[in-house]
Amino acid sequence: MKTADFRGVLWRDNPLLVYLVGLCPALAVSDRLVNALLLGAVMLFALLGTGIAAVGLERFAPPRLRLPLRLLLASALVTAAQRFLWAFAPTFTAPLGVYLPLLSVNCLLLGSAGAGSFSDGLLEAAGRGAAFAVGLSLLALVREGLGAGTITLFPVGSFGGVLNLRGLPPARVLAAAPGALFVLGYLSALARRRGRGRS
Amino acid sequence: MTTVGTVLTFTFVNNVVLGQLLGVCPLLGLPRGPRPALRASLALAAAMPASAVLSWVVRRLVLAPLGLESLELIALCLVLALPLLLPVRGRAGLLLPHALLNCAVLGVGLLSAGAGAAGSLVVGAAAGAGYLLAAVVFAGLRERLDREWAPRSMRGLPLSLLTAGLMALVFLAFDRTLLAGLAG
Repeated sequence: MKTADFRGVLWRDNPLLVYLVGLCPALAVSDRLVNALLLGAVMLFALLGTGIAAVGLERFAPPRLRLPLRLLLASALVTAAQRFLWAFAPTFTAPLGVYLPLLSVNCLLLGSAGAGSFSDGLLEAAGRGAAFAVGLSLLALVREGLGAGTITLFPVGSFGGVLNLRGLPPARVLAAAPGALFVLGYLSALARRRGRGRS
Repeated sequence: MTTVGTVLTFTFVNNVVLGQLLGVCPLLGLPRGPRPALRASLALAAAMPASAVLSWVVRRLVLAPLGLESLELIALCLVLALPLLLPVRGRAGLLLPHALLNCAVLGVGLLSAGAGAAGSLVVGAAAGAGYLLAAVVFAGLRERLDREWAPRSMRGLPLSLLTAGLMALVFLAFDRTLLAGLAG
């Protein structure tokens, strides 16, 4: 994977926005930017972990066992991340609810091809994880900014963590479940249009 | 929660797909038309009550006695992975991973925690019925939309997402107290 491909996967071939892979947890938690950033980070961690193991799986595991083993590994990694987050940042983890463990059956994790060399697999996993995080953050930024009129980040020092956008009457439906589908629909149309224009 | 209340919640008020946004990926991949969609989603809908009951069994008989509740996710994934080892060939073998490994099935297993044995079955069946309902209506809408003109960028998946969003908007209208009042 070259650097150009790495940049392409972030926007033109974004798995979340263009191919709509790995939607379920992404849609539900994208009502706050901070949730999206956390989920993106966990996804990147799990993708890198399975990416490293995928090389070994391709070489040593019989084909029938690859998917079950990958699933077990993904669930173990997600459990580890979940325990870690609950221990150190419970207030940020609580809103993720059931959607954090659900990352383990995400198509993006289970379906990534493990072919090629070790560095190729690692780069691909990093690209996918970063693309997932970027797409998710974009979705959350639009949903929270327009739906609630705020942008929630991590509190640092005297900064309380919430930016208030003045002057915009919030469109509450965007922060609710239908809003996730609407915003992702328009974002993916936009991403497709951009991708076609360039290629 | 009463049985009627559980069914109303998981089928209408908090529909698995349109309220809780679980199982959107399989919904987007459905064939066009209500009948093919119904056939295609039966396996997934049946997997939901099975996953709910199995998760109760695993939690109650394996994890709780051993004090390993924190490994719930790994245990549930192990249970979901077991059928993949069965010697199933042909089309069923290809469909099995899709019906088992998705957010909806695992999500119902996780959400039914604390519902008891019969409660888990009811939650799973109600969620399965909710998925079937959403799938049939969605596939019917998509079939009609295919004949309409749409801008090039919107065709296909973006339009599917907007359709699902409008359906979710309709499902917001289901109010728990209203439905509970109607059911007595």
